[in-house]
This record gives sequence, structure tokens and C-alpha cells, in this order.
Amino acid sequence: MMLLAFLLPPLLILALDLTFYEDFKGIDSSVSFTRFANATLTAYTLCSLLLLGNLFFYGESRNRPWAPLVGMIVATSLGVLATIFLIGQGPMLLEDNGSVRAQAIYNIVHMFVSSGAILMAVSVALGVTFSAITSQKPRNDFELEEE
Amino acid sequence: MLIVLGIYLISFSGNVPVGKLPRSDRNIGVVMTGFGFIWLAGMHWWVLTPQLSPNEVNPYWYVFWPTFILLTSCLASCSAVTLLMIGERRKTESNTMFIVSGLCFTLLLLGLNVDGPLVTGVEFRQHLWLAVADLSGIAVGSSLSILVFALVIYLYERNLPAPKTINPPTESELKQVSSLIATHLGGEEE
Repeated sequence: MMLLAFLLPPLLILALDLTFYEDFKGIDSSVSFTRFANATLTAYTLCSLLLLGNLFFYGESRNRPWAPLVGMIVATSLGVLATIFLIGQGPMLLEDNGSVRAQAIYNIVHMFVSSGAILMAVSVALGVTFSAITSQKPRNDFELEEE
Repeated sequence: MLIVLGIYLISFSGNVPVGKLPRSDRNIGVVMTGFGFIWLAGMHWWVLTPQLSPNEVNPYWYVFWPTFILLTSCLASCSAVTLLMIGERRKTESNTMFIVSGLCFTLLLLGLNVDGPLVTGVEFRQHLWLAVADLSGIAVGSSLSILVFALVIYLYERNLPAPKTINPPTESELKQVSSLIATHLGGEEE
């Protein structure tokens, strides 16, 4: 139910497009798939790098620092290799950039901007929820026992 | 920044147990939040659009704005349903969140159908669906990374040796513990 509520706005836009224009007036599917693939690979790589740091502290607490570190380096390397391989397949994952390196840098900067927008949206949603809750009058949820 | 500060002032001028602000800060918070949203709307439909050079919109504005407004609408809608499902007697708060989601959705619809001076409805539509693809990709990539991390931890934890068992306490140790407990029981004499 919560997932459905989360997906409601884009589904509504899709429904309105189909109702009023009888067609999906979005974007070429190959362009959006390219963006999706680039975002997936970049998020996977950056998230893995972040979790690598967490795994370092985990390895210290378990008195075996090398085993999880090696595992995570492998996972991160796979992500980086997959990114370079897929981007280097030709124009499939190159958006408006001329080289693999330019696309990789564009992906990272794009990810930072998207992450900033996500952080701000989460802050606004949580903040408005919290302010709605604190705006209400204090409630007495417990009935006092009659003495 | 205006929006976040405004929400902070509104939240903490309400019924909070600590850090309560004066009631007058609530009005300041409402004005700041409203002005922040109006500023963002002005960046789309007025002359405040970020530009790299005259008549060339900053491409990262096309990334930020649809992502922010779409995700705010989605999260507010999800929050409204969560308050109804999990909260007790939270109908008023849920209605507030539905209103916020509706306002953000209205901004989306306006962006899709009303051209700004530099950003047309067609361009906004394209970047909105790119934002959907972007958010989906980020969710999938992050989830995959977390799954890989969890798998590494699981495999490592499974290979850990069993903890060493220690010998049960001896008679002398049990007597020592009993005497210590007996010494510290009872507080009336102290």
C-alpha cells in the first residue's frame, strides 16, 4: 500500500497522458534506458565504495580485517569494470559525451546533483511530516485511573 | 536552505519536549518555506532560471528540479498513507501530507503544460521521465550494492569458528560468588 502510494504521482502522470493524448508522450525508450543503466552502474560503484569503508571497521571488530576487505574490493572492482566495459561498447551508454572518461565523470557529477535533490526531497517530506505532527495539540493517550 | 530552515522553525515552534521555539517563529517559518517554494517556481516560470550563459539553461537544473519535485510528491504521498496505516488518530496530519503531495503534483502538471521563458513543457517532460529513470537506476544500483555487502558479510560470518566454550565454575568459585552476593543483599541496615 505504501509502495503504491509512493508510485502514485508518476502513475497518475502516465494515466493522464494516456487519457488526454492517447499515447505515452514521454521520451525515447533507448534514451531513458541509457540513463537508467548509467545511474545503476554509478550508484552501484559509489555505494560500494562507501560500504567499503564500513566493512573496514567491521573487519577490525571481528579481528580479521582482510577477508571482508578483499571481498568488497572484488565487488567494487566488478562494478568499475562493468561500468567501463558497458560504456565502452559504443554509443549504447554514451549520452551526449564523446569518450568513456567524459561519460564516467558526467555520471559522477550527475549522481551528486541527483543525490542532492533526493536529500532535499527527503528533508522536506520528513520535515513537513514532523511539523504536521508537532502542530497538533498535545494528546492524553492514557486515561487516569479513578482514585 | 530557506525551505529547510522554515520547516525547522515550524516544527520546533509546535509541541516539542525540548528546544521549543517561540510561537512567533511559526509564522516566520511559514513565510520562509512559502518564499522558498515560490523562488523555486520562479526559477522555472520566471527570470530566475539558472543559466550558464544568456539563454542557455544550466543542464544540472534540468536534473535537480524534476527529481526534487517528483520525489517530494512521491514521499509526501507515501508519508500520508504511512500515517494512516501505522499512526493512531493521525488523519489530520495525513490530510496535510496529501495536500503537500497534491501541491507538488500540481507543480509537475503545470511544468508539463505551461512553458517558462527558457524551459518548455516538452523539455520538462523529457527531463521528468529521465528523472524517473535516474531514480530507478539509483534505487537498483544501491540495492545491488547493499545486497553484495550483505552477501560478503553472510559468507564471512558463516565461516567464523564456533566460540570457545569455557569450563563450568568450580566449587570454590561458587562459594566465593555466594558470599559476595550474601554480603550485598538487603539495604535496610545501610
